[in-house]
Formats: sequence, structure tokens, C-alpha cells
Amino acid sequence: MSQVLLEFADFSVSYRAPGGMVPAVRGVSLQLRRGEVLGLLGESGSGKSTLAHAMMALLPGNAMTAGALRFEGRDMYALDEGGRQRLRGSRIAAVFQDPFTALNPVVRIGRQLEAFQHQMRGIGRAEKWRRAAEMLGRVGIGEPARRLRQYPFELSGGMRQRVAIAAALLCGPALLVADEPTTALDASTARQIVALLGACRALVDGAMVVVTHDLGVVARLCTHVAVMYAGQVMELGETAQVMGAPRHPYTRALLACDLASRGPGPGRVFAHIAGHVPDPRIAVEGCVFGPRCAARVDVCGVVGAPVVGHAGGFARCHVAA
Amino acid sequence: MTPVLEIEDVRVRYPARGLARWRRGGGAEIVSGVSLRVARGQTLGLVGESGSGKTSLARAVLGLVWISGGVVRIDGRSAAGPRDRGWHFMRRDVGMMFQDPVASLDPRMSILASVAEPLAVHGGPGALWRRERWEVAARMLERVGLERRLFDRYPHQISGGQARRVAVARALVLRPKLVIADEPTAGLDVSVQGEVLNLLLDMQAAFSLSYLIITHNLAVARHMSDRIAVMHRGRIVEEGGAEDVCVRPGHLYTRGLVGQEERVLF
Amino acid sequence: MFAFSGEGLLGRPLGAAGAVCVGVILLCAVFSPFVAPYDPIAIAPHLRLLPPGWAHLFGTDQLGRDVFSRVVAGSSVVMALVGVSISVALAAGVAGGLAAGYGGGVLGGAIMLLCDVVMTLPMMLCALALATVLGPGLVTVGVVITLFLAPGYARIVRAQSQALVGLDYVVAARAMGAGAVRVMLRHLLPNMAGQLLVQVAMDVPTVIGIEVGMTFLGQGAEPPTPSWGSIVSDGFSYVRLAPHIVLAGSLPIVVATVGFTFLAEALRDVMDVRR
Repeated sequence: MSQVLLEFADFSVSYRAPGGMVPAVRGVSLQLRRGEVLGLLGESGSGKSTLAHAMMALLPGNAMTAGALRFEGRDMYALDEGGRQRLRGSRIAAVFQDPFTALNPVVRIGRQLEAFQHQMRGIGRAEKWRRAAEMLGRVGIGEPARRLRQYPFELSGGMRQRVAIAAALLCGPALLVADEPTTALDASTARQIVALLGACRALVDGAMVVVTHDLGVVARLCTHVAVMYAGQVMELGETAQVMGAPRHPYTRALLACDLASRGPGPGRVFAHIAGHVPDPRIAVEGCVFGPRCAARVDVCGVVGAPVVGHAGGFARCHVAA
Repeated sequence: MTPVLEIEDVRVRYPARGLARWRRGGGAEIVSGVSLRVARGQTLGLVGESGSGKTSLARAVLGLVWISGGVVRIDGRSAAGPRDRGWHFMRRDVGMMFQDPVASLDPRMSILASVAEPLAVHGGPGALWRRERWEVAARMLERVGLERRLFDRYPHQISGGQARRVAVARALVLRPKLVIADEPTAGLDVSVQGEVLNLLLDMQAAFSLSYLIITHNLAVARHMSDRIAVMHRGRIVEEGGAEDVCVRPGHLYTRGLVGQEERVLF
Repeated sequence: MFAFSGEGLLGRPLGAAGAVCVGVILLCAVFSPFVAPYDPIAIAPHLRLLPPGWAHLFGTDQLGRDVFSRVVAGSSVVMALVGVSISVALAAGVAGGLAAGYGGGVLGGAIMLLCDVVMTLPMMLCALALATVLGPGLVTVGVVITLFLAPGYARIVRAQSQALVGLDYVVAARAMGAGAVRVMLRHLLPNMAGQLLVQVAMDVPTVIGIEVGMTFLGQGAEPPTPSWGSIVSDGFSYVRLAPHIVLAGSLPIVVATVGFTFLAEALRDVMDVRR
């Protein structure tokens, strides 16, 4: 049994806004073990980005947390900001959505990659450049020595994302968080990056978290998936189980909407989930997905949905199978 | 029956910079000799990734970019250079929906005014007075499912999904023959994409429309179109019935696209 | 009208203060016959050079005229000058800028070249040269102001037109068949108005400065026309004997400059927030 690397214990994040507190993540409890790739699957307003930023210790100043987020046994939010800052770029590394703004446009790539290794003590400049060149080769960039001397604008979007991944890996992290790594890329480039991230599993001595709204990315890359809606985890489990035999009505509805796996229903009507994500500032009675749920029963509008566990995961639902 | 849209060997060049401006011909070609046909009442899906030239082609159809070669015929009617009066009449028959619906609405005009604008530009039945134009626009907005209370709002005050409906209403208010939809599902959550697509199909049935759907999403193209044309680097590399192209792709590039869309099923 | 809401001007103390200053000046300008206690051009030699007191708030000048009344009357003269000259400059600048920005081409290039040339001319020297040709007077001042402000507006309008023309909603308007005039009037101008308004507010102190400068050099307002420049100019000769005249004439200039500048800054902030 691999050890638990990251653990959420009833973790919540709210933002302080002029009108009051806005909850973005509510009571998330899950564990991430070494060797796993967890997909945070959700749509707009699901809280997946906030959760990812919490993991990267990059929450904005007006964010308040509750509950515990334990990384390698220590509660990250019980530490002071300095403690969290030491984790960033050494034990925890991140790859972001937009490759075009991920790198400083006026600094050569070599210098940036060298700078990314600043937390590694005891190795000299030459060694850092050598490691950078080697890592560029490993992420699939040819002629790494030449590339190190180039500026970011000389590289395509896909190549820049590879450089960003190389930069993250150079820190030797235990946790790699990828926030929508393929959203800003073309389909063909995206596929390559997904394959590359898959190969990174071997290079990360720890675990990976991939935040995405793309079902295809989850299917190809993740060992486990947490389906999020309105700040809560609706379903958690191994990818094969969640996507093959989903237990939660939201997951089922979401899979039904995926055009790549199934087309429109009879009468050429495309599946969709009626309604919209509720305003996080307004408290909802009962299950937060209830108003839009096809499997809704009376109790769903009264009492918050219980977490129904099973081997390998859970579903937050009154009527989960 | 004349096809509602006919594109014959159309070429579009990049505007040239510097000295190249004075050389005849200008810069590199974005669209290199594309020929397409959209029959009445049909939907053509134009599939391509960014840089394929699909957006430039759409703009060429409306005469918004200089066409350096070939002809565009809308319902049999064509026009010469960009200053030809003919474009005014051709544009009446084409409605366009842009990729970012909020950005395609003037931020200083209420959505009702935006939907009524085509009527002011072209005139038409009952379009003489502002009140009448607003009535026609209001009815179209209701048809696409938007509540009356939103009519006075400005683009930054409505959601992306609502803005998309407004864009549909504006494209249809003149009862065009052809609607060009540029990435109709871009930026939409998977769970609400179906709503827009259903709306487009409803409108097609109600108004006997033809569609040119431009998208990089092969699945959307497959399920919405009768025929698909695949565009790569300014050329059409494959064209055929939607199912045929998706299930039995001929060209190497198409096969690559289809392969990426393959969903890993459990 | 967002500008006047709580998040707009009222929420910014400096902007509100500026608005108050401007408001006071405009009120004096519009209602000057009612605000001024005495006839601004009536000469009363027996009352010359009186210091400020209850009867004459700002004292009297060398011809016995009540300085306060002259300041108030001057505000309507100056504000009229500001209004007319800036309006004409705006009209010319907007027309030129739209032609250059939306139309472009050779005409656009020529217009911009003309603007650049005018902007490089040394203003005061040219003002004096123009005064030699046209003769002194406020009309000449107006011509100078219009000539030197119009290129600035043309530049702003042209830059904005070029930026806006690529935006989706302008393309959408062209796609639906809107002609150039409609695009310019309905879509381009309203979306530039904010920035132009800010620039106008910042230009008012400049205009006032030009008037004062030209009048000081004898080429601006002619006696007995009361303008702030002429009050300061007249009072300058008596600055040792009766310093109150120069101070009184300078006061509205300072208030107007401060007021319009703060107002412009606040307007600019408000416009940015909107984006």
C-alpha cells in the first residue's frame, strides 16, 4: 500500500468579497497516494481551480481556508507563508494553462530553467545548465543546447508547454499539479502534451494532479478521478470505474453530454443538463446538484447528500447505486 | 436549385508589410484555392485547427477581407472587389455568429438594440420605425428563449450562454438563407453545449436555414453536419458526407484528427 | 451615468472636489450678470485701487472697476472661449482622425503628417505670428487654440479607431452590411467618447493658459473685455501698490486648473474601472 502523499480533511476555501464570503470549495475530503494521477474534473464554478491553487499554495490574499490540507504529513495551512513558500518550486511544482504567458518573454530559456532550480543547493551553475539541457531532451525537445539560448517567442505553443513541464520537473517535486494543461492548445498538440504528461509519471517521485474539464484527458491520463460540482466532490474513484459505471447522477449526465463518445439522442436532440450552476453565495437546501438532477427524490431537497463509500471511492448522493 | 453558398477557387492573402506592399499580390496565402458548396437547407461542417485559414475563409464569404482570387456566390449572386455595392445585398442573406459572443456585441448597446441593428441597416418588413424594429427584435429574442427582463441589459451583464442566444437572434433577425457559425460551442461547458446545438437545429427547422459551421471539434461537426470539409493550411484536404469522413477518413490529416477524437471507452 | 454613482466620482474625494470647483466656475459663467454685484466695465475713478473689503470683495482696479465682478464676468468670457474653441477643435480632430483611422490609405497618411507638423510648431511664436496676421483679440486666441488642440484629438481618434476596428463587434457590424458612416457614428465614436472626454477635461487648463499668455503679450483680449488674462495683465503694473488685483485674477485660474485636472483624473479612473 503506497503511502498517502496528500490528504484533504474536510477542506474548504472561501473568498472575502465586498458582499461577504464566497465559498469556492466546500468540505473536500480525499487522499492522494504515491504513484497516482488524480484528475479533478469539473466545469465552470466547480471549484477545481481553487482546489488546485490551494494545493500549490497559491491562493490569493483574500482566501480563507478551513479544515486541513496535509502534504507529506504536515498541514500546509497551519504553516506560515514562509513555510508554504519553501514547498513551492521544490516539493510541489505546477504547470499552468497558458503556455504563452508561462515563461518570461525577455529572458532566455536557459536562464529561466536555471532560475527554476534556485532551491537546489550545492550544485553550481554549469551543473544546473546541464540538468536543464538533459530535461529538455527528456520532454521531447530536440537540440536542447540550442534551445537553451533561445527566447520563448521562438518556440511554438506546444514547445513552450514542454519547457514549462521541464521547468516543473527540474525541481524534483513530489507533487506535480497541471492546471488545464491542454486547454489553450490545438487538438494535435494537446494529444502530445497528454502523452508527455503520462510519461512524466515515471519522472515524478510522488503523485500528479491534473485539473481539467476535458473527459478525454481524464480518460487517457488519470488513474483516479474526482468529479467536482459547485465546490464539492460528487464522485471519487478509479477512472475506469467512474467513467465506465458512474454512480453519481451528475457524472452520468456529464458523460451523456460528451459528444466524442456518443452522439445526440433520438430525434437528434443533444443531451445537456438543464439549468445552471448555482450562485455560490446563496445557500442551497439539500443536495447542491438537486435542482438539476434527473434522479432527484424528495429527500434531495431537504438534507445534504451523504457520502456513500464503496471500495476505491465514494459518491455523494442519496440515490447512489 | 442554386446552392445557397458557392465558393470557387477562392484565395486570400495576408496583408503585406513593408516593401512587399508595393509588389502585386501581397503576402503569403492564408486560403489557397478553396472550392465549396452548401446546398439549400443543408449544413456543411468546416473542420480545421487554428492556422488552417477557416476564419479567413468565413470573412471572405462576407467580403470582409480582400479576395485575391476566385468567386463567392451567395444564392447565385456574386460581387467583385470589397467596395462593390453587391456585398450589401449579399450580406442581407447571410447571418454570422462569432466565436466569442460577448465580444461580438457592442458594449454600449443594449442587447435589444444589437439584435435590432440589422433591421436598421437593411430595412425590411415593418422595419421603418424604431419601435417596429424593436418589436421584431424582441420577438426573435423570445424565440431563442431569452427572457424579456434581459432585453435592456448590456453585454457585460449577461452570461456567456445568454450572449450566445443573443448572437443567434441577431444572426436570424433578417431571415437569412445562410448562417455562418464560428465555433458555436467554444468556451461552453460540456453540459450546456447541447443546448446551443439544439437551438441551432430548432432554428434550422423553423426557418429553413442552411448552415456553415466552422469548428475544430470533429464531434460537433459530425453530429451537426450533412457534409464535412476538412481544411488544412489553406486547402481543403477532404470533403464528403459527415459520417463517411469521420468513420472512413481518406486523407492522412483527417485520419490524424479522427484519431485524436477517439474516446477511450471503458 | 455610471460616472455620477457612488462608485464613480462621488467615491473619489479628489474627483468630487474637482467637480465642485468646475461646477462653481460654470455657474458663475452662466449666471454672471446675477452673481456680479457691479458692472464689470463701469469706470469709477474715485474708487481706484481700493483693497479688498466688504463693499468690494476683491477690491478695485486702477480704473475703479470692481475686481470681483470682472472675475465673474471673465469666467463667462473664458468659458465661452473654452467651449467654442474646444468644440471646433474636436469636430476637426474627430473628422480627421476617423478618416485616417478607419479609411487609412494615402489620405490618412497625409492627415497624420499634417497633424505631426502642426504639433511640432512652437505654440507661442506661432500664436504671435497669427496675431500679426489676424490682429489681436479673443477670436485670434480661439483660432490658435483650435489649431493646436485639433491634432491631439485627431491622434487619439485615429489610434482608437485602429484599435476598435479589429474588435469583433465592429467586424460583426460590417458583416451585417453596415456602411462606413454607420460604423463610425454608431460603434466607433461612442466607444471612444470616454477617452476624448478625459482629454478635453485635461485640455481646459491649457486653453486657459493660452488665453492668459496671449493677453499678457497684448495679443489676446482687448480692453475693456474682462478676462482672467486681462485682469492679471492689468494688475501686473500695480503689483507693488495693489497686489490684490493680480491675486484675484490668478485665483480663478488656479481653481479652474486644479478643478479640471482632478476631474479629468477621476473620470479616467472611472472609465478604466468600467472596462
